[in-house]
Amino acid sequence: MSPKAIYLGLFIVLSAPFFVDMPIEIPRNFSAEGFFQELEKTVKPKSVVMVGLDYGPGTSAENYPQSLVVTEHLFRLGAKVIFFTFSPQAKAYLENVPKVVQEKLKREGINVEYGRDFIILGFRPAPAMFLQGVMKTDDLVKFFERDMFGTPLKDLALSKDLTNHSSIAVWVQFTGLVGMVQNYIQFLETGSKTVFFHGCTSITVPEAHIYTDSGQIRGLIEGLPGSVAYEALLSERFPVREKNKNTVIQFSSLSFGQAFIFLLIVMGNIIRRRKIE
Amino acid sequence: MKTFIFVLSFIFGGYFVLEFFLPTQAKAELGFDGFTPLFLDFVTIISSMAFGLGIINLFSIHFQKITLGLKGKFYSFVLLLSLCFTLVSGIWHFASVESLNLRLKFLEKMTQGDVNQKLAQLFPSFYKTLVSICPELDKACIAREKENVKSRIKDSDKHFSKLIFDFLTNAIFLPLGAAMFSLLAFFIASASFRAFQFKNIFGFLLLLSAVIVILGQNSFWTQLFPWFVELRAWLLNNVSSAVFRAIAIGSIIGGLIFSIRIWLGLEGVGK
Amino acid sequence: MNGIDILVAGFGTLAVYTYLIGENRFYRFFEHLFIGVAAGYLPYFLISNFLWPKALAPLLGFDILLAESYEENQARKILVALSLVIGLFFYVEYFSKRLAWATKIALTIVLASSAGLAIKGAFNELIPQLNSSLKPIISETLKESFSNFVFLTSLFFAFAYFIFSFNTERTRFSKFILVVSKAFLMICFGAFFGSTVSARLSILIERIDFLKNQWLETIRSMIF
Repeated sequence: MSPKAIYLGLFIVLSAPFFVDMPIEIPRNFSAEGFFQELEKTVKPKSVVMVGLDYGPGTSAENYPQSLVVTEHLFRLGAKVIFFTFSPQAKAYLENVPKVVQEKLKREGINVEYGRDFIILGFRPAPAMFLQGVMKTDDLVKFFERDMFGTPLKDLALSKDLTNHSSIAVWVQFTGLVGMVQNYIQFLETGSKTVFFHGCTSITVPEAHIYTDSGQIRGLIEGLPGSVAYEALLSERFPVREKNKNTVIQFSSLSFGQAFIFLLIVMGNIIRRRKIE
Repeated sequence: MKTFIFVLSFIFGGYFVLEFFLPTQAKAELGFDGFTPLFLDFVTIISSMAFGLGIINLFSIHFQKITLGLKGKFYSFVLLLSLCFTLVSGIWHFASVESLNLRLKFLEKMTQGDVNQKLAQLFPSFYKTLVSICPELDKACIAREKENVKSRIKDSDKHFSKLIFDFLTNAIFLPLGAAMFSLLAFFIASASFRAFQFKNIFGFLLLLSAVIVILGQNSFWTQLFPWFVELRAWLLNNVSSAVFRAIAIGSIIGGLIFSIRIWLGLEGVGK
Repeated sequence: MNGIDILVAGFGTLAVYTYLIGENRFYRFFEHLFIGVAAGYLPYFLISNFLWPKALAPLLGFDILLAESYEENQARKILVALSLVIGLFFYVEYFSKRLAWATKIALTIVLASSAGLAIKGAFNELIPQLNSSLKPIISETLKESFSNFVFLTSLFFAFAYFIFSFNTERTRFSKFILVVSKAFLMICFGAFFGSTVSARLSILIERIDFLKNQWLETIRSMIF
């Protein structure tokens, strides 16, 4: 079979669910369930949560839906969220994620305000140094200084709740970058001094599991399947919320794609065995 | 020079090592906790200043291609043009918005009264502009000027530099970045057909494990065999993570040793 | 995103996919365009989000406008000025080969600080990993005991594979350990491959979603 035929076949198989309505069932995802339950236990109203959107266009297909769904959950729990990134490619997502969730919740009558309920710190270089600085400083407002738009943090209502690292209840990070999560684990001393949740791409799932086993990651969302399962859990918890049909269509496309890959593996081996015989 | 580099390396590396190993009380007495954020800012600023090296490298390679008329000079021109447009439009927009922000802050401070003279001395251009608009420096006029600056900040979103930067981000950077990465899906599909064959027991185990992980998240397969979800989770939690932990522990220890060697000047720049 | 952005993004995406047919001018044009934009992105962010507020603005005295009760911090200003000067050392070799040694100062500071931090970080990461590896073989349930046994066995064999300090192929027993270790490693790598498949497919699916729901819709709205 020529490679071009395989490419075309893959494209057709993945596109099919976008043109034809194919309802599918979302399988259980134990990691997403664990993340959901732990977040519900740990985040109380007015808890300050740091959310790191450390991804770019290369991994946004998996990290972006995760950040949307978890941000919505955090706002619904009444958390005060501080968005930031160590990836310069994440600027668009830093502005977009809170805005999209804010507009969605507004349609339900839930008012989420910039400065009071969330702030965007923007891009910070040198993750190890920044995280180390957060753990060491006595005055987070002075350390963070300004938000992404140049407003001094002290002028924003959310900063009234900030003193040192102990005023941050939870850290959540979404990334597909290799080595990025280790910065958080090492310098936030996750598991002992801080509570850390992680949204990873499917590639880093096996790696992330060693940290969930040791307690260094309290909750884990695994790629697109994880965010779809999380969506379902959120809809169960908040039945009036608007469902994201797009993510479900993407997941059904993924299921078709996985089945196609499985078929290719089987066909490839059968054809090779026949050639040898 | 070598000795100087070694001493520098020992001091800067040793600061964090000492900061880690010293007891909390000793750190408080020595003033570590107050100094560390400053020290981190110092090092971060130095490391951030290296951003230009990549740009200089890109410029030198592609500019040479253009000037020498080598093959691919048109594409080099496209690359350098897009780089310049991105950098210039981004910084232009930032500079124009930031100067308006600073003017706004200046006006807010002026209405506070007692620091007027100091501000007038430190920011003569802002003061001169204000005096030309509000010669009496009355509060009502300053308030009007503040509203004017605020509306200009809002209007800066329509400035051509912002439009260019947004276009380059939304039309080129984000979609093409994703498209480049998505090419790999096609190659993986092709590799699944041609390369993943089990010739021996090891190949079989690799394929079996891959198939369990793939199908354990697949909607159709898990509807037929719901226990596959648990099997996948068990495999990831008990076998895969154990093996990966061994690899990770090895690499952490290796990294630790390498870091100690850099700190002691046995590796890196001074060697 | 407005209509023009979506149109150009769609054409660019399809241009990248033409690489599957073979390298061509359309692909190369967009590839170089993308590299140029990506290269210009980082400096813009560094300057606007970090260097200006943390270094340049305080140095130029603009922090008086941003602070509520301003206290002149000369020590911090001197430190910032010094860090900027040392940061410029990275570029000295482009101007003078004689002074190229100055680059080593900047590099040493950055490398040594990172190494010092990495030493601290390594312990923070390693100790919990070692602690949680000690799982009880005899546990409350049979399933848990079996799982822990499999975990410890996999861990032991994976460690054993990476011992290069002595010859592990001398005896039949050591060869057996090597074979079993390889088997466990293959299972781990298979899990990695399976995860990679899902990740790569997800990125392609997102692009297909964009092409169908945004690009085609934009073209349709322009035509009809």
